[in-house]
Amino acid sequence: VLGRRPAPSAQPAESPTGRLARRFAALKDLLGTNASALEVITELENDLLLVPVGDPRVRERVELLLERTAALVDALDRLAEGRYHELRTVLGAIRNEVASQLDNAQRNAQGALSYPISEVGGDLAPLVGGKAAQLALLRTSGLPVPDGFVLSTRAYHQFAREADLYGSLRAELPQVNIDDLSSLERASQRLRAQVLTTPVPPPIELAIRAEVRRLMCRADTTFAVRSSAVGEDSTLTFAGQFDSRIHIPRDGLAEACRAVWASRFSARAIAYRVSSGVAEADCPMAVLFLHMVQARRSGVLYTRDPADARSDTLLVTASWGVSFTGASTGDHFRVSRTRRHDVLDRHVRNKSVRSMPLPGGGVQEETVPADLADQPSVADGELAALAALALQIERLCGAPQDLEWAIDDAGSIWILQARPLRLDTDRARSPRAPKVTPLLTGGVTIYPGRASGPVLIAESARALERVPEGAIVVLRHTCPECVKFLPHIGGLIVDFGNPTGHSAALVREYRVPALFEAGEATRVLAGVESASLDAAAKRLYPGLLFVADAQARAHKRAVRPPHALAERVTSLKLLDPSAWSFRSSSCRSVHDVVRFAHEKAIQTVFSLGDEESEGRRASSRVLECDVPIDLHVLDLGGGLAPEAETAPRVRPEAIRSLPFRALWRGISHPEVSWAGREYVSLSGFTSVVARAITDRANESRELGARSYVAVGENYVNFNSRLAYHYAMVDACVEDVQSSNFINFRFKGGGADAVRKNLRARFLQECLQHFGFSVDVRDDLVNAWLRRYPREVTEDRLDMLGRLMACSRQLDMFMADEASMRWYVAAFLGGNYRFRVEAEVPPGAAAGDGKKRRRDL
Amino acid sequence: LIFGMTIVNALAGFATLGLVVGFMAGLFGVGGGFLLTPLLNILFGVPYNIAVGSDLAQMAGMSTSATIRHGRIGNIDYKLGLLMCAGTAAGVEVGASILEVLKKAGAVTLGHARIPVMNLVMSAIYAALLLWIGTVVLRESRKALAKVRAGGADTIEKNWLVERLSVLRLPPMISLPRSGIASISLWVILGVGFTTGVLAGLLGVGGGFIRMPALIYIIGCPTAVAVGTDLFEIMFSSAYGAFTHATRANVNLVVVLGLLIGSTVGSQIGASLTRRLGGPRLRNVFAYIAYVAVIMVAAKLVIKIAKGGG
Repeated sequence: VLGRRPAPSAQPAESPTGRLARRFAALKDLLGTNASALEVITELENDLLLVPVGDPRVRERVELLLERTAALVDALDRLAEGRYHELRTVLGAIRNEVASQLDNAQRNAQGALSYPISEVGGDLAPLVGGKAAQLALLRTSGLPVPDGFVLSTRAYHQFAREADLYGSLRAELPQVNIDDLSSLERASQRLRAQVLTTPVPPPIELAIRAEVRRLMCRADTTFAVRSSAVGEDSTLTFAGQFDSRIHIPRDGLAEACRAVWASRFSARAIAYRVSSGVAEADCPMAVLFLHMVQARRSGVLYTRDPADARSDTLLVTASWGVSFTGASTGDHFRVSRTRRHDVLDRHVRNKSVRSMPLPGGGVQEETVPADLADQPSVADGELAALAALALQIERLCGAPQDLEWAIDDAGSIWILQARPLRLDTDRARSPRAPKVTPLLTGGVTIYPGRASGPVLIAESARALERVPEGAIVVLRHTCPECVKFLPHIGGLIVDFGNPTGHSAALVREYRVPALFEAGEATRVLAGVESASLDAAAKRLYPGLLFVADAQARAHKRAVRPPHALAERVTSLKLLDPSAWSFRSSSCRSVHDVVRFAHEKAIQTVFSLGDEESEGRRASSRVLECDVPIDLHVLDLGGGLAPEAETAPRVRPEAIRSLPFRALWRGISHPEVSWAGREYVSLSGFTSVVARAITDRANESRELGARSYVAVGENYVNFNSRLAYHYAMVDACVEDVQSSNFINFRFKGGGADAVRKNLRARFLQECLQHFGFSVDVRDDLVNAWLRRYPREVTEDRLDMLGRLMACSRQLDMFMADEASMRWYVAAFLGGNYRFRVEAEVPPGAAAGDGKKRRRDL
Repeated sequence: LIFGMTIVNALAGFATLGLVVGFMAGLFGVGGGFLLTPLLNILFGVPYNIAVGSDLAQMAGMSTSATIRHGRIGNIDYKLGLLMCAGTAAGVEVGASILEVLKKAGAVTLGHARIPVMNLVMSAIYAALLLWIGTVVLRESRKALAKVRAGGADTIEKNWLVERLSVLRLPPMISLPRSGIASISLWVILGVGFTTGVLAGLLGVGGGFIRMPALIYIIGCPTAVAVGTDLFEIMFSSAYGAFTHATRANVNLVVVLGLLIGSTVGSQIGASLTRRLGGPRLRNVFAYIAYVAVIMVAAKLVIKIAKGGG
């Protein structure tokens, strides 16, 4: 009591309540800054997926984030009274590093809009894309590559800014679910329309014209316009995902270029990119313009046989026409890699269609004259020449190659594309064959391996809507759309299918055991329910014989490392506050600093309460109430009714704090309960027991330790360790709308990580429904609501009180997404006891089947 | 001579075992009991009945001193605690009686060896328990290391109602005012007590790893009450277990003394290291230790059968 009266001395000593109030004011600042820092981090994470690091908006946001983090560290300093002072130094070091990275990125973002192919060196790959860099290398080595030029990724970024593509991407991409074709299709259509309706900026158009002039070609020379995305052809093939425009006259180049850019947003290209885990910002698209080769024959060449990489053979596919897209049938040749290059094996097909250039530009499919259709499209001598050239390229590049070639009117060979060929030598040989009569034998192995699963038959990939996980898909034809289901299926069999086509490249990239040219598989397998494919042995057996390795395959797909800037800014490594390494010196990124400061603030607030209540200071009282939570009240001044100020125990009614009263309405709501249980989950409980065996010592605050509520007239801080989790509400309620806020934090649980994280998502869904901004990292939930009118803020506090009661031990039931969603719906519907009778979900009608718990 | 050792050797041996197991218990939080009883049998040839009895006596000493040291004996729901104690006492009696029956069941001939039935059954139970613990812990820590796949509508919709069981509402229903529970079936409380009692009486483990989650996740106690009541319970169940085993001549004071000395020191060291070493990987280590113990239990039995004799 004495301490509350202002001291009469000249240097007024601060009253304990004053000091407490000051530190809670620092906490208030800290939580507000934390929310806004998390907002910037989320924005920045999105930006870095779409925008190059050198973009000015990235710098702007990083600077804003650094500013807020500095304020956060400052607030922690005031709250903890200097205990985490070294955090300033840590943040300073990170700030310096980030600044130099931004400067570097800005320097790197410079470069020309376009480059002649003859001037492209290896270091330009990030600007001109993999395909162009590779062709430039071949051309400068004296190999027959047509002359041309590249429009760099800088041009692409300039166009993207002009078209406000980043804005649309941010709006569209979150809506896309790659398993849902219609959502993909809708997003794709909007994005493509946007690209196609935006005029090509004049500087880019000028650059194209200047390059064409520089080539000094004849007026009627036409070009092939093709994509050259960064990252394309190296780790990812993007095979057949982007469009090309062939035989384009010089005045149509800008438009063709725009069409190629638009193909970046085709449904299948988006699906491919998303399923490969590549960010939008990591694969900007340069565009390659090459002199059109007046080709009579064209095709693909593999310098190794992917089905049997150890054999000493090259694979050549050839057909009539200017471009061999891979969809049409062609002749197949197997040619010896050793000198003289004998043709070991030949399949000459009936090639009924070919694409031929149109006089005004573009190409058109036409019927091949009858006398030509059955002729071999390339002679043995030409095959030998192709083989020699291919091996030269293989030596130059140091790896097996997948080449596109053409032979012109004069009989000279041209190389149109060269990319590394994906091979897997380990799986080529099959283990012991099962003693079952195969349903099907023969075909061409595209990717070796074994798989069992349900059989799904369709005319082509386009006809397939939903493909079950691990299915054996049997198609009549292939198309690049198959990329949509390749990551999920067990095996693929195609009646036709080109072993050197785009689909084959994708199959190898996704490591799907596959057979092409399987003849009549769609007919033979009609009515078969499940089958087992041994792609290397070229056999298909009835029934489920092999253990699926689709799962193993999915894990092999590499996750691309984040950019160095993300590493220092947005990535979060400090996740476990109980770990030994949770120290300020372990902070590697700005996000780490934010997390660390926030966590330490919470711990400090707990220890503030412990100090106050253990010292039996006047400000700590026991809350006397019917709700079974062990709460201690800290008065920050003005929070209690005058008559309660001297009592050691207070009733909730004696607390005047506006936000406390609102929160308490929810906590003491008659429908919610803080003790007892009506339901349990066996698997959830087992999970809790398993954690209890090993995890009890690993919490930052002991189980059952005290919980506090600090109150001021317009302020409340509810800081609680409840059961195995932990919850905090920090709120301000006034008549002045702009000073109202709620901060909410929730973490932990007794069950395993999956269930805890699902409960965090449960909270996220409920909170978002009520207008909160939410940031979830694993099982940590941070939510905030700011500047709402007094009534709304009070209403939300009431809701939070109920939500905290309802979500206790809910992690036990969070077995999967579906149950999480059910609980969200139940909470939002006011079914706070989660009674099934209140809303019977489908399939749960059998009330008698409900088991009763007997053995406990 | 004590189990074929001089008294000094025996004391030193038990103290060392107590140190190692206590260290692990301190490090991992719980888990001492699972390892201590079978290891006493495997390493020192202590019969299971004496291992269980002495282990409980040792635990009674440890938990009482821990409770006094922490001064955390407030916040007990005595109504709940005493009811649970009734269940626990019954459970301990049942457990100890089963052990008594096994003790008197004599031996069976396996190969050329005479193996006591008690040895066979207890080895099997411990092996199964340790195997289960190891597997569950390993699975959980793998889950902790894996990320939840975000945003997939493709999760298989299992019939989660099978997952969700109503807590038994068989009368008599009672209320627990201290815990704020309006109505709960007496049988649920007795059941939880009984389960941990059987574990204590038969296997010599404290059962805290089940009791604490059960108090919070099944009975729905407020945490502070759960913590206090759990401490109260562990003291009661180990003391009662020690008493009832003592009346059956299953407690050996040398074993108790050795273990007490060792585990007091060991658990302190373990607890001080746990924050440095914590995390999912440490949990894996615990699982592997459990597996090693299983192998030791099995190996001991196999060797005995192979060697022949009594």
